[in-house]
Amino acid sequence: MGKGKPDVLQGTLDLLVLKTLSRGRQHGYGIVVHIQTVSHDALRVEEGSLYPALHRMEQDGCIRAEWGVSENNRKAKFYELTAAGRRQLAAEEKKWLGVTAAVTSVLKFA
Amino acid sequence: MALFRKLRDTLRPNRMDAELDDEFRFHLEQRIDELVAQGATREDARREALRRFGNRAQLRESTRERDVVIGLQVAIQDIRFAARSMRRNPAFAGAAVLSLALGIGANTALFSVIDGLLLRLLPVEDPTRLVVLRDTANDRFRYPDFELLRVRSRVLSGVAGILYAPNTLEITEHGRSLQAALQIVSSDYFKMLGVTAARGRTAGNSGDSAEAVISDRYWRIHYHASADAIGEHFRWADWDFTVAGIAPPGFQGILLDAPADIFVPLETAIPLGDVLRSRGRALSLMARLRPGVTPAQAAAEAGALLHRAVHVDGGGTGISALRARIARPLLVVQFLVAFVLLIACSNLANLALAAAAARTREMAVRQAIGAGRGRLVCQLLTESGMLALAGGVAGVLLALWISKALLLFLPPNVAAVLPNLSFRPDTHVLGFTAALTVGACLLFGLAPALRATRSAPISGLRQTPGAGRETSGWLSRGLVVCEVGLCTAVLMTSGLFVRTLRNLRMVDPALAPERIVVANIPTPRGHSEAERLQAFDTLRDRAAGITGVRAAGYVHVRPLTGHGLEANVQMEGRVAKPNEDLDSLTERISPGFLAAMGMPLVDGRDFTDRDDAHATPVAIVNQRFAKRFLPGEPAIGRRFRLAAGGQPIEIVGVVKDTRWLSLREAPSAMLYRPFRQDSGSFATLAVRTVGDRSGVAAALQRIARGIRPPLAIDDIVPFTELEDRALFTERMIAQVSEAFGLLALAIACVGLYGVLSYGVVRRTREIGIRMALGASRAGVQWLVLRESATLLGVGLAVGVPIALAASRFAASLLFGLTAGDAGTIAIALAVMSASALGAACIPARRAVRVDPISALRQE
Repeated sequence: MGKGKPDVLQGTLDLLVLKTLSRGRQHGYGIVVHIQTVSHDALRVEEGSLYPALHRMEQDGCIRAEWGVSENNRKAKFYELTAAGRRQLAAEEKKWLGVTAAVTSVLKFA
Repeated sequence: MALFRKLRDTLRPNRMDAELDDEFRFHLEQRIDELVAQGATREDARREALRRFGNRAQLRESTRERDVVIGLQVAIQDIRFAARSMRRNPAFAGAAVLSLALGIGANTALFSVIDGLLLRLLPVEDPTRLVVLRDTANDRFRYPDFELLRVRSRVLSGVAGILYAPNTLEITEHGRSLQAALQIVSSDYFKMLGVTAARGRTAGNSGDSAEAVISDRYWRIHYHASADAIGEHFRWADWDFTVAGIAPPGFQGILLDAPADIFVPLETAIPLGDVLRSRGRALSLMARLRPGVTPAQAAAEAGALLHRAVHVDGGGTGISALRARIARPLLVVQFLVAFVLLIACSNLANLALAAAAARTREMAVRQAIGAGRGRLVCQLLTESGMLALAGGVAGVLLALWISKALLLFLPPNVAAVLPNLSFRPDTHVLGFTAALTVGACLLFGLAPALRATRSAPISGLRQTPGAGRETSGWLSRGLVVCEVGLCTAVLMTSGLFVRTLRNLRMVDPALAPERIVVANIPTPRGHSEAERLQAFDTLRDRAAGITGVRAAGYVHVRPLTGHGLEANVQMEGRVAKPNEDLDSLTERISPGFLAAMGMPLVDGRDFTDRDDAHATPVAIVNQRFAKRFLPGEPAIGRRFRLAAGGQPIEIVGVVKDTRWLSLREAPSAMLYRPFRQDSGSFATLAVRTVGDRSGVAAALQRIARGIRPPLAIDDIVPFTELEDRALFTERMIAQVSEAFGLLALAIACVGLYGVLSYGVVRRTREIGIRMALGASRAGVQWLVLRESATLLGVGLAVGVPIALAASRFAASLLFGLTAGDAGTIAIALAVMSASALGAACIPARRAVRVDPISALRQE
């Protein structure tokens, strides 16, 4: 785990990956870059967590993978959402918003 | 296809690794480009990218671990591993597969026969609601009984009757006569069974139609599956029958012992007024219970209607006399072969335990570096599973052969008509085999696998070969005790059967039966009784003239068939007690038959050709007859009648008692009548030979063909063959149990030998020290033998009660001895002990040869 920079919260990696892929197909490196950029460097995905997660989600049928060619003409493996993945994303998103709302109200109360 | 890809990935793990590497490489290169773009040197960028990525090999593992495919891959890995370790130890693998194959094969073959005879349901509608009705006195009913039940019963939704008749009857088709398996059934037979014709219609909703239904088998064989078969005619018993329908494939009636090809309606075939429609007890009854009715209710109702007790039993598996006869023997043999499989499994468990002990260190190392116990157990079980699978597959092949061998014991006429008994690897049977295989695998694989992975890594690593006593000792000793116990049980039981067979062989109904040649004389067609008798006598006279033949004669129904006629004897000048049993077996013989059989006359004379229809009616009786009806009086010259009003018959001879109906039944009162006074349409010729008898059969054939009318004699065999046929169940049990007894003994001895040898190897150091300290060779030898004697003793103690329980179940099959026969127990114990101690001697001698110096240096 990289020092100084907060690692992605356990359990939220799937949500982040699904959300990223909901914009269109992307390769592993692209996912890392996207999350890092969009979160203004606040969230950093470890390669050691990302690839096992991608493979697990592929096995679960949330995403599917396909070999293709990257912007700079390299052979890369692209991932994209399946219908099941889209449903999963909706559910995870709802859950996350529920949890953060709950946490926020606790914080505000105190 | 995702599934296809998974499968492909599994089968090509290297390719999957390569894909992961490609994916990672792309990621690294992108990162390096980015870092370089930010101003780093290529070298620094590369180092930084790799650092962020971490251990790639580990990542690859952790990525793939999440894969569900990994399970399959692990299995393949395990199988490869198991194959490797089997190649390292081919003797173990070979012995394991062979003993499992024999065990599983024998069990499968037996199960296939038992399934066919006892368990398989008839191919009819809802067979579980079918019941068989049996009269207490006689299994069969009179036609009026059937009619009464059919019309009046309120708990039976249908009743069908099957007329008892020979298995084949002669029918005429386009002027040619042929033998066919024709069955005479009541007209609502098919309706009651719920069997609808595959083609045409099932005959006989109208009582007097002359319509026949044929089996699918007969349609294919006889009519070559031609659609024109329907509407064909044949003639039987003065009736022209029309083929109206073809039964569905697989349906050959409900009598297992007599599969039928042609069904004709009883109401047509047997006219009103025939004895079979009135007094004759000739119908087997099968009925269908209405929903919610129990067999007991049906029995009560039938009993009330017929005014006598009626048994009602489940009939879903059909009616079979053979079943009653061989069900118990088959179950006994099934028990024995199940024991053999258990012995084989405990033996393998033991060998696997020894192998596992040798791998304790390996397992400890693997656990220490992070292998899960479950994973290791799985791997070890894979090895057992592969052995079991190989054993199972080989077992099915062996079962084919074993069941053929089993059927060889059946008399040819029985085996030929019983399609149910041939080995059928259907779902039932293969399911049984699969269950056996899995059971065997768990039985011999699980304990050693758990044991091998149990020890804490640290103690396993510390352990050095040859040090200390093994903790798993009690398990392997327990297994040896089991083996010895079960083996003792198998040996004892098979001993009982072998001695039963020997006892039965000693009660020969004839003198020197191997010297007697018998031949079947079928009825010559189209000749008068006088012509027939003349032909039979000519055959007898000419047969007696063959060189090497000392005597010749013939009999109507040959001995040992189980069939005989009884007659009521009314002795002149003797007052019968009330309710006295006056029945005597009667048989018809020609002059010379007693001499040919070697049945000596103790008084009086044999019949002659002058004892014919014009002479005084005469009889020869056996000693038991004389003792029963004329105790203490001379029998010769006394007269009796068979049934009131019959002619008086004079006793002219008394013959020694012999067993007639079967070898098991003690001789009963019997009387013989001359064939010329009381003739039959067929006979069995018996000739007594001296010296070389190889040419006798051919000579008999030649003579039989040369006389007028020619006789088509067949089935020319030594009399011992008739004994073998009569003893087929006994021979089957004795020989099968003997063979498997020896197999069990061999396996148990190998097991004992293995455990003891392993013990000697383990205790090499201990033995070395003892010898260095001055222990004698005899002392060391005793050390090993004492252990084997203890195991043997406990095993025998366990085995005898098992054997007694098993043989009590088989008690009704024994002859001339009881289930607890002391001699047999003694022999079994002696054989077991001698073999076990013999097996123990080899490791004991090896222990003596241990060299103290090298044993101590061994570390």
